[in-house]
Amino acid sequence: MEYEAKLSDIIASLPEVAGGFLFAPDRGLYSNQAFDIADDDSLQQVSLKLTKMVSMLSVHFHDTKAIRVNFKDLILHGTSMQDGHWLFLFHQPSLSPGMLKMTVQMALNIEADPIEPNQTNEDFPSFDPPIETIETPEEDIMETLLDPDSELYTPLSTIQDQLAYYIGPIANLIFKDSIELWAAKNSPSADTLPYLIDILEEEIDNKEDRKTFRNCLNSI
Amino acid sequence: MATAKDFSRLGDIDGVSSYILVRNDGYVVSENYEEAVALSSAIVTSGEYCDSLAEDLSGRNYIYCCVERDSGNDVLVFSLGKYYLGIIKHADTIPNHLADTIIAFLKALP
Repeated sequence: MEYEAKLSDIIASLPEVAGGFLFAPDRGLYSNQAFDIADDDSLQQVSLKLTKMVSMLSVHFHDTKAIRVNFKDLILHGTSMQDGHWLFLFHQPSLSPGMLKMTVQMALNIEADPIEPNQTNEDFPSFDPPIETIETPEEDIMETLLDPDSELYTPLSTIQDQLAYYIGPIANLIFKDSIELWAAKNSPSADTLPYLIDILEEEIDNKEDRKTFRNCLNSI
Repeated sequence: MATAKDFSRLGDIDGVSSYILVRNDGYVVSENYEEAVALSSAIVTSGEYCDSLAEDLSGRNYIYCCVERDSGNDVLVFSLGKYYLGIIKHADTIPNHLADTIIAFLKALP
């Protein structure tokens, strides 16, 4: 009951907090005070995913303490408490992390974070640029196919541009992967381009966008 | 066109301590973190979990996720289609500001 009361106190004290809920591995979701946002089953799933994430990352980093997921109009913040219990709060982006942290710490009677903002973790390794990147051997085929003298240069550039229009900055990496897949299963040529388009359209989530993407490339 | 080398410029961004770009099958595309391989599966799984939150929260798609650490070296996760980007920030960097910078960087990729 103690945590339920504290959750209620936090929600009441911060108008930017839209709701919250509690979670414990042995108990699951409890005290859902975010009915307007999601039901118990959904928040149970959310809790499981986020706590598993922190658990996974804590294997690598031993000082994890909280998790924050930013959505366009809402932030979900989870704080690890004693005995494996978690306090989750939905709040508006206008609420500063500092204010939220202070309110939660006060409610939970947690001592203020002793780490100064400029203090670095001596255990954390630091690295100097330049950065080593991993080159993949398939870059050769990309260079060959996208050479301006290649007969496939124009159609492939058009396909690449169209893909970028629909899926954004990651398009070129996906394009490269798809070229590799296409080249592995087909002899790259104008005749086999439809197979490449088949592969690429699977990367477009929106059904209408997928259809438009294909229609735009019909003339190739 | 964006290549792994373009992503390596992430390491030059103020506030980025380390980064790791991983394909959803765990292949590390680009990194400047010596334990990248060990971390890669956690980044992919985290990104996939975050992607799936839309199913639980009325279609809300996440922008990024931040796992907070006592050291301040928080871990930010972004989904980029079938790739996932993990950023380990410097302790004295404000995560929201860094996230905005990372998003602007990604949008500006060729």
